[in-house]
Amino acid sequence: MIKILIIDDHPLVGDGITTMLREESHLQITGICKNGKEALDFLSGNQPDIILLDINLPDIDGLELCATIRKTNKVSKIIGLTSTNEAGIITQLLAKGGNGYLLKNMERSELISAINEVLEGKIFLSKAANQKILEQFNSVNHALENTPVLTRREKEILQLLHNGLNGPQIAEKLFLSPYTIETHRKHLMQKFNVNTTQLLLKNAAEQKLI
Amino acid sequence: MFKLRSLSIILFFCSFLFIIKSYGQQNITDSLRTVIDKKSSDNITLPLYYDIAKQYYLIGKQDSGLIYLKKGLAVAELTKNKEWYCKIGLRIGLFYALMSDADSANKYLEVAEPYKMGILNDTILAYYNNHKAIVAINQEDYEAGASYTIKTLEILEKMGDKKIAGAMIQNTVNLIVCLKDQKQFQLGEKYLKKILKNIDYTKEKPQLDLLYFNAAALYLESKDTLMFKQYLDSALFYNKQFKSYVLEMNIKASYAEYYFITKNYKESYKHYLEVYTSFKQQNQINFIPAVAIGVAQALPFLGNWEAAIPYYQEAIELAKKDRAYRILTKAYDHLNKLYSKNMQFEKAYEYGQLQLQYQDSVSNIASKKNLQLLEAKYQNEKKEKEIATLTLSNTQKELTVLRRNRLLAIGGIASTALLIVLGLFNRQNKQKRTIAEKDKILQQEQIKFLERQQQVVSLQSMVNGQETERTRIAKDLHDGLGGLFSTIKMHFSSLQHENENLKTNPLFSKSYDMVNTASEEVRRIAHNMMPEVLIKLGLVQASKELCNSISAGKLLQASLQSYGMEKRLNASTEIMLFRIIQELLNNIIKHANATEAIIQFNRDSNRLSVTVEDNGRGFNLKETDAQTHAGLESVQNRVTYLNGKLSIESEKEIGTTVMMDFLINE
Repeated sequence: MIKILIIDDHPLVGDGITTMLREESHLQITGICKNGKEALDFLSGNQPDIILLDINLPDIDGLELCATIRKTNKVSKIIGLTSTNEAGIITQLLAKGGNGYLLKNMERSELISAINEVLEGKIFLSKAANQKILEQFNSVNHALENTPVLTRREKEILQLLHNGLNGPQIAEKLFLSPYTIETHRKHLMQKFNVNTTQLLLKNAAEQKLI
Repeated sequence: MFKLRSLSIILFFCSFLFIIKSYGQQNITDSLRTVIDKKSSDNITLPLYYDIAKQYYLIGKQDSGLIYLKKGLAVAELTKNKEWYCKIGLRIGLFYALMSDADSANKYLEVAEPYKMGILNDTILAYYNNHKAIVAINQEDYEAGASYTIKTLEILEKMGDKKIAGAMIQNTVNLIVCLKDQKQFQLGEKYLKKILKNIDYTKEKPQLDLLYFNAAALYLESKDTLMFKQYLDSALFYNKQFKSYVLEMNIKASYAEYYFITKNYKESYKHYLEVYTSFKQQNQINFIPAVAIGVAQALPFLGNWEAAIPYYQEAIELAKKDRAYRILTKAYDHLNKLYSKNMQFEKAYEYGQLQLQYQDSVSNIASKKNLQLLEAKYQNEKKEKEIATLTLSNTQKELTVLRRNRLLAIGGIASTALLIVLGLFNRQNKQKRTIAEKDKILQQEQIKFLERQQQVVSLQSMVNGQETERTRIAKDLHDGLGGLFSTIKMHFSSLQHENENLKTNPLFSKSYDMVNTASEEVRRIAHNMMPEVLIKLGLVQASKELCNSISAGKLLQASLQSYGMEKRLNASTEIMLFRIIQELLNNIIKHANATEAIIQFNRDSNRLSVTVEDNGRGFNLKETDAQTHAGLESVQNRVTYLNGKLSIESEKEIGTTVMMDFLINE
């Protein structure tokens, strides 16, 4: 028998899940908690196999609750349950010890396979969540290329610095205040993670930006 | 008695050397001049003027040196460089002193007097006193010369620098010259012994011969023949090491004088004649009178008194030109005695008269100072007397006035009192009125201020209220409607599972799809209203997801970069900034026709700048359509609300860059 705990402040959601699982005789819903405090109380005396955890609770942040549960309970599989589909939140949940992630408007079959897969020790992500993670992964890849993306002004100023002009001279040439140029130069140094103009030009040349 | 008036020239030469390092070469002068003529910055040229003059001095062209010094002085005055003005002024004074132009020398020394200018740099003060002493000695005012030299020595001693040991010797020499003239032999001896004790003999001191020579001269004057000879021998010894022509001749002349005193007239004549001939050859005119007298004085003892006459006459002629009155009187004195000894009393009388006349002018110089002192005292007394009489008459006047006034006072006081009362009354009224007016203005301003504050507060609360409202609605949508739709969908899903027939029922399928769509729609709306990630994970993460979802549409690639944003900002600022970015990205999608957009956060301590850039078609800020305008205005409002600075640059067919700077208060 697999024991399931539902943590969700919305009574209908618990109802819906119960309905979806009523034909699965090996799955038993042993508790429905309305908030974080109730859940922690329940968990101090019980160890369910599956915890379906809503990320939005009235008292404790769902992500924090996940981390708190994980501190004392390494066994129960936690599946995040939410109506939002945001990559950052999904990754945070996994980072805080979650085993899976489901959107509330899931199909019955999705819920069943999620439960089965996390019990097998796998990580489960709903189809839509998968998509989000991939999107983020693409942009992470982009960031890993290591070449900073420069704005037009920054490119222009980098080139002028390369040509040997100083801040005030560039300001005069571009009809901007020296203060603005200084800001751009600071940003460039921040992007290349250097603290002198010389190093900036050297790095930029190495990355073929000038 | 033998005396070398022109010896002071040597002293000045050496004193001058102590100030400057000697590398006198013509080519240095030339190169320095080129630098000056190039007109480089004043701070570089000032020392150059100084140096070039020194170089000119060393090659004997004081006139040219003076020209550069005066140029330098003008530059120093123009650039208000006090210290260099002082230094150069003093140097000009010295040059004039060396050229025997005492008036000009004093004029410049006065202009550049460091005490007056408040420059209390020891080196400069030493220069000043040294130069003043030189001018005084040159004018044969040995008393003043002594006092200035003593001051110079005091300053040098205070500085206590090893490098100025040479300067100490030079100035001691000057002092001995002065004290010798004042017949202060004991004092001179004291200073001489002091300096001899401190001399570092291991180092070559070219001035040692000069010092010993002057020591000898001091003993000559005090008629201590033994010491005279002893120091003269030392002077000769050191002179052989350092070889200074003029001094060598002077030492030789002193030996001649020594022989004269010890009645070895033949040797004396021989030595004096040697020196005389040499000076003539070298055209050292200002030394000749003294030496000529030396030659002449021995001749009568050798039985040829008439041969002495032309030497004396030459001495007189040259001394007159040079205004060397002491030597002149000495020559007259000798001639007077010579003629009377040889029974030519008329001539003897004539020279006796001349001697007396010039003796007067010599003592005149000495008495002039006394006279000035007396004059000053007299003037002072006169002034005091005048002040006393003035006070007396004033007191008398006051007395009469007082008497008259006493009567008037009684009437006066009464009327004044009345006036004061009226005036006070009037003033009080006036004051009341102005106070009231000021109060009114103040009140108005206060009202304005409160109004403005109210506006800000209401704007703030409006914006905040708007965001709170949005958050609340988003939450309600998520939890309420979203949950409801989700549950309906769950039920449908269960139903479908439990009843296989429903799968083929189109009405059921349609309802199922519609519920799905509705729940997605609710989620989208709620998300747009307030992305959960913004509240939970912050601005950067929310912006990143915004970019990702835009990029997923494939029309516009939006990328985000953030630097120094590890720490979260306060919630309302984050929401506000997120709205700005949302608005700008919306604008780009709707109007810019761009393929790429960059969002950038740069935070450096409490400064945050946000840049949003696209490569779209750009726009002219003045001709924006109403929609873009509205969008930009809302951005501007939010930036203003955050106390930020907004700048927009847009170029047709290149793109638009929006830059915002904020100060983050935590």
